[in-house]
Amino acid sequence: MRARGCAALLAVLLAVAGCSGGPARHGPLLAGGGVDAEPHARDCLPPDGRTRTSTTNAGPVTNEGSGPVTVTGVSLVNPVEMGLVEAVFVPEEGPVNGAVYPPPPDEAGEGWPDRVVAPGAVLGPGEEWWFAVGLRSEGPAAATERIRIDYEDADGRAYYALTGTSVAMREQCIGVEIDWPDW
Amino acid sequence: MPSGGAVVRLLAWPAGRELASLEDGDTFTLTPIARTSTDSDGHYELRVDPSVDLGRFESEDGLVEVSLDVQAPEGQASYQGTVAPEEALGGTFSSRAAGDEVVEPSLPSELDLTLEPAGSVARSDVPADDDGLVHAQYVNLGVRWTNVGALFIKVTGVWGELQHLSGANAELGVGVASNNGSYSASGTVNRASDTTIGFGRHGRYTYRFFDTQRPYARYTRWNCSGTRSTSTVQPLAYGGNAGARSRSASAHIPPNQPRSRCAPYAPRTIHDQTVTKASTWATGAKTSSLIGIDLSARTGYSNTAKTRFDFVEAGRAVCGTRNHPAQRTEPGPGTLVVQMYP
Repeated sequence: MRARGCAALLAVLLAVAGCSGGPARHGPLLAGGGVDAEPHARDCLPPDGRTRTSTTNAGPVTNEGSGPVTVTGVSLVNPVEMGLVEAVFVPEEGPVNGAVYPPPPDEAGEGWPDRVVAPGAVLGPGEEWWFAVGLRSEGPAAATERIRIDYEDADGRAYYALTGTSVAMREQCIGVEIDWPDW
Repeated sequence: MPSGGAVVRLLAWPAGRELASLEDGDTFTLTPIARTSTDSDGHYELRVDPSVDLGRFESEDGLVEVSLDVQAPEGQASYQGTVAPEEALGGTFSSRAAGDEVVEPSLPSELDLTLEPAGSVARSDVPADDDGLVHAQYVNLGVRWTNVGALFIKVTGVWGELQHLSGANAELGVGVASNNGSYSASGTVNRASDTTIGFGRHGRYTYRFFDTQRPYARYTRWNCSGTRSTSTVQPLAYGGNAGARSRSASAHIPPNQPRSRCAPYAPRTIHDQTVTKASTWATGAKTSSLIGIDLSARTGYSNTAKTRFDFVEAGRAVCGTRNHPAQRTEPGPGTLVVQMYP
C-alpha cells in the first residue's frame, strides 16, 4: 500500500492566458457549433423523390443570455446546389433527420404543431428550442457546410450562431463515398 | 495540509523526434523552463522565462511536452502534460491542427497536487551535473493495446463503423512513480497515429471496444543532487501504432438515453460524428502488466477518427450519454449509443 503525503499543493497558474473575451459575434445563442470551430458532424440525407426536400434537425438551440434575443435571419453557409426551404424552432424534440419537408406527422415529433418560423422568433432567456430546417436539393452535389442563425439582443447588438453539422443530399448515401466540397 | 516553501519546476522534454531516436538505455536531459516556490498556503504560480526558446522543444503538433515537478521536505509529485508555447509565455492559446485534427495542450491551467513521501533513493549510474538540467534514461517497454473507440448499437437496422485513419490523435494517460514507489496516473500526452486501422462494419447488438497497439517507454530521471527519482511511463513519441483488435464492451453498455439527447434518423441516411471529444476510457491503455495499473485512453471523433452510422430502418436514433450529438459545447456528447426512437 502506498502512503500518501498529507501535504497538498493548491492551484498553479501556468500563464495568465485567462479569458480574453471573444469577438462580438460570440453571443448568447448556442446552436451546436462554435463560431470559430469547424463542423463536428456530417449527415447525408436522401432528398424526397418528388419535392427534392429533406429535413435536418440541428438539435437544441439555447439562449444562454439574461435577456431575449430576436432571430433576424437564417442562411446556409457555403451552400453548393442546395436551397433553404424554411427554418423553424420546435419547443421539444423535433423532426427526424432525412424526412421529407415538411415532415409527416409520424416523423415530425410531438412539438411540431407548436413550431415557430425562425426569422422573427423571439427566444427568451434560458429557453431551449429545437432547430429544424427544410433543405432542397438543387443538383447532384448538394451540400451545406453548416447553417447560420443571425439574431439581435434587446439592445440591438447583432450576433450569429452556427450549427455544427454539415449536410449533403444524395440519392444514395449508404455504401458510397460522399464527395464533400472542399470547404 | 498546504505545503509552503516547496520548489515547483516546469521541465521541458526534448521534441518528440529526438525522443523517438533514442536507443534503449540512452540518456537525455530535461530542461527547466520555469521555477517558483509555494507560499505559506501552498499556492504557486508558474511563469515561463520569456527568454527561453521553446521552439526547440516543440513537436510536430506545435506543443511542448512538460513535467510539472514539486519537491518539498515532505515529499514530491510530478504531473505530465503538454503546453502551447504562446500560452506558456503569457499569450492566448491558438488552436492548431496536427494532420486533420485540432490538438490542445493537456496541462491544466490550475492543478492540485498531492505529495508522495520522500524515501531513500538509490543513486544511479546516470551522471548528474550542476547546470540545472535533469538527466533521464530511456527504456523501451514494448507495445501495449490502447483503446481508440467503441460502438454501442442496441438495435437492429443500423450499421456502425469506427474509422481510425492515419493522423488520428489520441490523448493517452501517463503513469508516474516517485521514489521507487508504485505507479499512479498523472497527466496525459497526445499521440498521433501513423497507420490507418480498419475495424470493419458492425451491425445489430454490437458492444465492442476497438484497440490498436502502441509502443511504451519508461523514462527514469534524477535531479542534479541525485537524491530523488521519478519514473514516467508513457507511449513513445512518434512510435506509431499497429494492429487491430476488438473486445467485448458488454459490461459498459450505456443505458437508454432520454430523447433530448438523441438525434433520430430516417432510413437511407448516414451520420458521421467527427471532431467532438469522445469519452475517456479510464483503463483503455492496457499497461497493468508493466506498471500495475491500466492508464487512460481517449481518441477524439475527427475527420481521421470518426464513427459512422448507416440507418437502414426507421425509428432509430444516435444519442450521446452527456449531450445531444449535435452539441459541440462542453462536455460534448460523450459516448454515442444507437437506440430505438419510437
